Amino acid sequence: MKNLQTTTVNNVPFIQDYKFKSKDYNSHFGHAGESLVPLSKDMSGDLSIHKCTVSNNKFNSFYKKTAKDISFSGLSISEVNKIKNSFAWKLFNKKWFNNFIAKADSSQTIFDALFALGITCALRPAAIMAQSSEKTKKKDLKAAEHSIASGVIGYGFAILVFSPIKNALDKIKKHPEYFSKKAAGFFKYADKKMNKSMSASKRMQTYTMLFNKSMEILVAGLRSSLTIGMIPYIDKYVFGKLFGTNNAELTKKQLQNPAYRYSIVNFKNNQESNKVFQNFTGLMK
Amino acid sequence: MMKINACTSQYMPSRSRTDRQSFKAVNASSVKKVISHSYDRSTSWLAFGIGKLASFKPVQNVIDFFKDKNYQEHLAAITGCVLSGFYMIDTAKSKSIEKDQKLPLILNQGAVCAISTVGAYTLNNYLNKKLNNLAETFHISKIEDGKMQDEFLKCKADYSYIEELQKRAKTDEKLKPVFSDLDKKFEVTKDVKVYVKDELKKYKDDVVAKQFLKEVKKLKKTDNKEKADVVKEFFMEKMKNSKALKAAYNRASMNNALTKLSGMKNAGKLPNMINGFKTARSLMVFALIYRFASPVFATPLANKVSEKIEQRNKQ
Repeated sequence: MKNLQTTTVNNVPFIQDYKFKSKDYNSHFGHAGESLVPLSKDMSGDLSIHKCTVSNNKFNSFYKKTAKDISFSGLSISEVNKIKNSFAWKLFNKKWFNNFIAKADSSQTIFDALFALGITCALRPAAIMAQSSEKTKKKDLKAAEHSIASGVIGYGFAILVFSPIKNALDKIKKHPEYFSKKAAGFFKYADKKMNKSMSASKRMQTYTMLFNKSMEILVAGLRSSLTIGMIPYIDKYVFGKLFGTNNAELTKKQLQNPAYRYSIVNFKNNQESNKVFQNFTGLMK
Repeated sequence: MMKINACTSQYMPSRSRTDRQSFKAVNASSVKKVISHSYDRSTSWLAFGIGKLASFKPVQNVIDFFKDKNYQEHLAAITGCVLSGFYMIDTAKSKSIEKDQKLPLILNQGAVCAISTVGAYTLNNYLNKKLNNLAETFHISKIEDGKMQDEFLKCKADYSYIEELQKRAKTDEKLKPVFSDLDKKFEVTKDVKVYVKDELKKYKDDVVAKQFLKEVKKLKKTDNKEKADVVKEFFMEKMKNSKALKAAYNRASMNNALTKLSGMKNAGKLPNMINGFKTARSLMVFALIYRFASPVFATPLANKVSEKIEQRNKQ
């Protein structure tokens, strides 16, 4: 028994490891449960606890942990528990994830800008710097800065212009009879009169998306000109001070050339302006 | 000493300090109130405007046209194409680009736009198939009624459980609106075919299901019946001898039950979350392609191709 005791106490981590492993294999569950319960009972019965090399507290926590595991392992882990223990299920129950998804339902433009912020501030600069060589390092750094600036401006613009629209749409969803007297019936009684909440109505969801997206297209020109107009200032006052990469005057001059705009709107501006294709670098800012 | 006293009496006494602070606080809050009030009013006016817009018949027709379609991805594609269209127009109008350079530049922009759009649609369709499982789990995780969620979880774990639920739905008032009449709702959609393929990974020897996937493409509508009905009948007949088809049928029924549940009065946020998940997926795929893959990978490629063409022309 003593041998048994020393092995158990000295090798607590080993047992825990074993338990952990056994969690993954269904067939071992019963066995893990059986072997651990009598073991710990014997320990508390035959040998007094203070004889053990581990402290009382440690022992208690160890004992508690086993008890917990037994209650779990007593049941064979079914498929349902597998789903509940999966990474996806835990992620889906996180608050931030739900807020993120809810944004995609209530305001697609803000969601889009938020996601674009992630791309332009992290992914794209990383890709640019990964592609850059020593020769083009300065220019690439500048391009990365522009990418970040365009993302931040785009997000700020989306928040400024589209949060009022989101709030207005939310108001219609809450009080359709007040804000949209004539269309309330049209929205509410979609989907065979089954929906009671306005925001759940398929027609309202479609209208939200259509309105947001068409507004986005309408103000796209303003947004891109604002981005292009603000980038020199961001260069001068933010990045210039941060990294000392200030050449705003040069940028201003080049801004006169629309071909250059595409390279600003996108990320690479390291081509000479005379050549035809080298200035063009993609689609959207 | 006097000076210091004067100073302290002016700034230090606790009473005057608190007074000043509270005054500031009132000031700030009143400004905030005015701003939030005016913001609230302006959004209300905006809401009236947007509500009014929805009362026009053409707008309602457009909404109804898009309602049951996969408009999320189309709208993301349209936005992308319109934006690059703007750039093309800008190029055409530009005075500082030489005339003979304009056309190739525009063509280049158009080509990248077309490649990106096709790529985005392809990736989105691929993900739609691959993420079916995740989407189902997400939808179930958003069911607000705990007991109902458990029932759906059991269904997800074992699709055949839905047969038991359908039996119980005959007597159970709570289950009735969700799990009854699922047979009528069943249609052989693209998703169902994906389910069959998924099940075939489990039941590798299921010859009937394989045969179904081959023959379903040849089916045509008859004089009395629409194509969808013919396909459904064919599916039901084959299902009697196939485990994979049966499992796919049960999975489709589970999804139909979820749709039914999301349309009910007490569904809470479930329909919004279902819509949000679908929209988020499409928007994220299109944004990744247009904003990341296109400028980082497609454009340098397009530039190289164009350069080579230019060099050849010169030679």
